[in-house]
Amino acid sequence: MSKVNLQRLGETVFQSSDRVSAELLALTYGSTVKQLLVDYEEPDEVNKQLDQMGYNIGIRLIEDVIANSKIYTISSFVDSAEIVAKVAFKMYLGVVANTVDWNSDKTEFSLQFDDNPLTEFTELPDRYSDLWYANILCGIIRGAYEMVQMKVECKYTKCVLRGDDTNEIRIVLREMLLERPPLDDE
Amino acid sequence: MDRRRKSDGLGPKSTQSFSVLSQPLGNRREVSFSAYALLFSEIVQYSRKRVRSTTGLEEKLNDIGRRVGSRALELVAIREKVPTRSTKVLQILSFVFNPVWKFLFGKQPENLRKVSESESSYFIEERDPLVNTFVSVPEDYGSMNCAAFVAGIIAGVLESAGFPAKVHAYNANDSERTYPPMTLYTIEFSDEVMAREKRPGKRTMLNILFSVGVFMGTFALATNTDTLK
Repeated sequence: MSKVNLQRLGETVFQSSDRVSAELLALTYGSTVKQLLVDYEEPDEVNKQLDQMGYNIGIRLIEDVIANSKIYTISSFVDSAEIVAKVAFKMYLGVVANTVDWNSDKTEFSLQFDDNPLTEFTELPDRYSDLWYANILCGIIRGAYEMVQMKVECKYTKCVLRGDDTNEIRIVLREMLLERPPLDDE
Repeated sequence: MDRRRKSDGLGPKSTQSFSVLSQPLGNRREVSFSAYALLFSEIVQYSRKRVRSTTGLEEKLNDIGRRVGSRALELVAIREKVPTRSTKVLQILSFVFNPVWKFLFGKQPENLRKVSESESSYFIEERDPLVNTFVSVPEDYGSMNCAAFVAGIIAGVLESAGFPAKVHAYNANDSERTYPPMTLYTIEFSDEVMAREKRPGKRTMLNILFSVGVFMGTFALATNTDTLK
């Protein structure tokens, strides 16, 4: 499917779905990050926790994506990238991302987006400059990919809260998982 | 208007803090409901792992909601262009009932009522709170209601407005509908609020300013990430 079609698909699904205020999401997410900071204190630990929380969300989110977008097969990693950027981002966050900086093997790319609804009203104090505030997105992407048999590594590389001009997440394909039969067949 | 942010405002990032604070507030975007529902479910899961009882879980959700509430108050007050601060209990309650709920959830609750037995208690009834849409509570959690999060939001709004109160979410014993039951938010105002209610006149305003000042101070301490108390 072409980029334009995917973009239109994302728009249609977003318009036809139930929506809530982005500010409610931003405030709720902010309170969650604050709670994690209170519980764990170290920004690195919080980054890990956010990634784990995102992973738990991602493994369920993928079914929602497939059901609503009716994209039942993903033919390649390259195609999946466009689906994440144009369809999934639009469906959930109402913003569209761009896939940039592909490597020669086509196994790595960066997801670039200027606008992140999660970071509305937020700024990062110096003490937490190691925190990737919206790291939950990395976990979500990782979890979703795992459910479609691709093992990826997802890391934030640029964040507007840290002073960069845009937001960027680097996604690296590690391996394609094969369907494995369950360990105990009893 | 002073704004609570998760930063201390000092240090080399202060130029960035000015850009966040000076952004206009007109931007009313939307995100998908599933995104919110998924995030909320994860919040509940996370909180569940860190507590040992259902009351602990409710308290945790309440705490998370409180932070949302105090920030929501400022936003809604600016947007509603409220000319004067609410000084009476009924004023602030109808503010919560109307614009705040609309801002957060896009609808209004069913009812706002006074508890006849106690003069400091009120309750708000809501059918199908937004956050409970995809939540099912297993038997062993008893009367746990995840709308404890919303109760926290209400508590946050009330405290920031100078009306400290305890807010809990309960499942009502509803004879008309058996499932899901109506959610009741019981609001119990603290003694100083009720004492203030009884006092008429200009002194009320001074008392409000004083208590708001105290609370803003304590909130500044509480929300300032320097002091994790």
